[in-house]
Amino acid sequence: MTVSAEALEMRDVCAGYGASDILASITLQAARGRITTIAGPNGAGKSTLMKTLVGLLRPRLGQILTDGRDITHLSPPQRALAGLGYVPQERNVFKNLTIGENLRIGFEFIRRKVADKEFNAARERVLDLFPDLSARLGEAAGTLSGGQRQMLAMGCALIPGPTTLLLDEPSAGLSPRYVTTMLDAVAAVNRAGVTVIMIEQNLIEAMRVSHDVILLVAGGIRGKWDASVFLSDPDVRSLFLGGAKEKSAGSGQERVSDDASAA
Amino acid sequence: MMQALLNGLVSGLLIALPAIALSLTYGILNFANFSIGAMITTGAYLAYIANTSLGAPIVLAAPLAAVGLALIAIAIQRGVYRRIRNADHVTLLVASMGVAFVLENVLRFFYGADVRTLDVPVARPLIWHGLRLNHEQLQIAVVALSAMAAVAFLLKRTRLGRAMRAISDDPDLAEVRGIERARTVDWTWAISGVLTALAGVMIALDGIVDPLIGMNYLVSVFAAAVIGGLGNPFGAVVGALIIGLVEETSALAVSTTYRQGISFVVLVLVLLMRPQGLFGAVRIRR
Amino acid sequence: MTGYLVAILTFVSLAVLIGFALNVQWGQAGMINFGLAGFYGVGAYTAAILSKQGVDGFTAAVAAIAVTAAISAIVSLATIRLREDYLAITTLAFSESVRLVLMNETWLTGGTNGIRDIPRPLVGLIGGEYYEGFFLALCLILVAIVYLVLDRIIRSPFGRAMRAVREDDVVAATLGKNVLALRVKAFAIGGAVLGLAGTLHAYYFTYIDPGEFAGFITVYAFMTAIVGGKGSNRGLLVGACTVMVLLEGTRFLKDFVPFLSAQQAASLRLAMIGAGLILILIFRPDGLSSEYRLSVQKPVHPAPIPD
Repeated sequence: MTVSAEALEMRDVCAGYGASDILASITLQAARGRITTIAGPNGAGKSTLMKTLVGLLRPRLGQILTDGRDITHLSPPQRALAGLGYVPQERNVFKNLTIGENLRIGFEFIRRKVADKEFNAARERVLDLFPDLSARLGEAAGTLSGGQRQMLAMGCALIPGPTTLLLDEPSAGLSPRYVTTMLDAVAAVNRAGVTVIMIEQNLIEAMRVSHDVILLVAGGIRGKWDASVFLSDPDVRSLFLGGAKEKSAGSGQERVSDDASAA
Repeated sequence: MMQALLNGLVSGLLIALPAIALSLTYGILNFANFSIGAMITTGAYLAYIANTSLGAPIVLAAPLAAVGLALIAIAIQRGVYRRIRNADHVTLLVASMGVAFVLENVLRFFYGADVRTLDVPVARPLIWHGLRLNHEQLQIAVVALSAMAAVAFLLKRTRLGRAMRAISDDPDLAEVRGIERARTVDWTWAISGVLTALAGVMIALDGIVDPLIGMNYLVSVFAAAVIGGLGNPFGAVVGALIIGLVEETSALAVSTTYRQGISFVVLVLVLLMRPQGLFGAVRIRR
Repeated sequence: MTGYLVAILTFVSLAVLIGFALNVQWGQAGMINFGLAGFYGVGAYTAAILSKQGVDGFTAAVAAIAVTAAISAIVSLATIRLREDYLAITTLAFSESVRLVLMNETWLTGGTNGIRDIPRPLVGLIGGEYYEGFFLALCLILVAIVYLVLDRIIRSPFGRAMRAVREDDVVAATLGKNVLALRVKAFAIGGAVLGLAGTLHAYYFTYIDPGEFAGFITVYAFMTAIVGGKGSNRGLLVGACTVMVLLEGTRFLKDFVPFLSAQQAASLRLAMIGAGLILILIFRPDGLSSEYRLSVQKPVHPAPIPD
């Protein structure tokens, strides 16, 4: 067992709602400073995985660690304080509050007792990333279009300066222009030092910015690839559709299997 | 008629406080607190205790009652509501009814059903252009308006207020953004307790203290909150003024004992025509 | 001693009937009725007023049942599309309004003095000392009849439809169930049972006043329904007996704590009932029985992924 310096790690995590598990003994690592995409067909359990990482769902078994620190039993606010930022797919802004208030809330509960000056600086950085928002600070978030709401949600997750950013389908339902904006922002944020883990269905766009890809199918991990070769790997299609259980040995890339025996 | 309108406004201001409290807890906890009537009564009794047993003048007894009820509300939240595992709104509703029952009977246990009054100096009413405003009404207006201003400031401009509005908007997202739910909920109950106790004290000032005084306002308070839109504290104020005016003006035509019956009718009409109230969002079943 | 037992069992029968009504409205159809006491009072007063006017016991009972059912249906209409909170508020407000009417319309209801000397059915036929026993037997028979009728309803397609609506009314609507009609009917059926219970109450006590129809009945009913397991009528019998034991048990509190006045003892007992309700909700919200349902196999492990 190597000492873990991974940004985020899951060990044998089983989680679900009610009597049955959706995630079956998940083990994965996401490296610091990189962008890891979690891909998989619908119903694979990707959103459940996100919720477990963020703390909205407690795993039945297993551990979750960030930079070696066990956060399995931390509540969502505690995980946010530990440096995890989260952009949910839907319901990701406070609709009845203004854009300015949304950003303020994103900041003030994680960076407590901090001078207004720092908040203003942080807000400026976010508005530089998403200039569309600056003109509308006084408007209710519920009046924004889908793309603008995504940007605001990401802005709120970024404003307190998280070390790891979790994104659930950042491009879902967006027009191509917004998709590019969002993923460019992801890349920019990563260059500034934030580790990113994202679920993304739009794989072509995702591969443009990602470093690593983890494939999740039917609640189990099927392998980890370098983003540059993921889409061209012939195994991927059959794994995606559930035919094979694991990446075949001959693919020559980094290999991670479901159990913890892999080094 | 003008007198009735004036009385109605004052009455509305009084009802506004527990109506705001009801909307606040509804917004955050997503259930209608049926113990609000009993809480009003408890607030009145706390002031009575401070006033008669401890000899505190009203100016001191009222804040003492407010703090006392705030603490009791937090204790109930931690002792009852938080411990209910399947905390869906139906179970909490029924629990709040149990709480109401316990509060009322504990008060009755210690103080019986006798009618009591607060020890306050009697003062002459003010007359202005033929309209009469007695001292209690003036106090109600001043206290209620100050309290409402304080709540508005709290909600709009403080971190706690933003936390409350955020949880009301989306509890999961609020958690993810770092808001500690349990603490914010405790504070919400504390504020609810303060507002409700003030109402109880003012009702007692204007009349008597007995185990049912809060109950006599329950329907009016609920009607006010529903008219405003359950969960919207600003709407609750508007709803309360409307209810106050309707109740007082109806007294010109119908016996005053039916005051709450009038509110019931108004409530039903509002639910039939515009269930989300003036400012709320209608929550269709699930 | 037998007199005491007969009285207790009669109370239990009334409590069971009220519980049955709540089980239909809340347990089966998911509608919260916080105004139980008010509807119960409507039933009692209707029977009492008619009996005093000379109407015979049976007809008065039928009238009381019909009136209570009709009023229940009307009251539920206001909030039929809305969340349970609104029905809870409305029924409570209705109950309060009923109380006001009972207290003030003295010409009809006797005001706070209530109605005395309500004629009991068949009292001429069965005299004196046997009447209490006869009345208890009548109550028990009625409880059994209501139980059987409700059981048939629960197991019928109508019952399934009610439960479907309770669980998810959007789905139920798409399946073609007329959600509104189902809810009103369920509420009315519960109302009918409450009317019957109220009638029996009036005949048994021969004296009613507005103060009897207070929140205590509602709290008590919820407690029996929850202890027995919401929706289960069989469990309700257990629940009613348990709660009655608690109630009667605490009646003897006075003997142990002699310095309590009667008023205080009564308040203490009522406070304990409220506390009991809270404790049940915390520790045993599913009660002691479970409701009728075709058993469903729940998978424990996820299905293995096919190769």
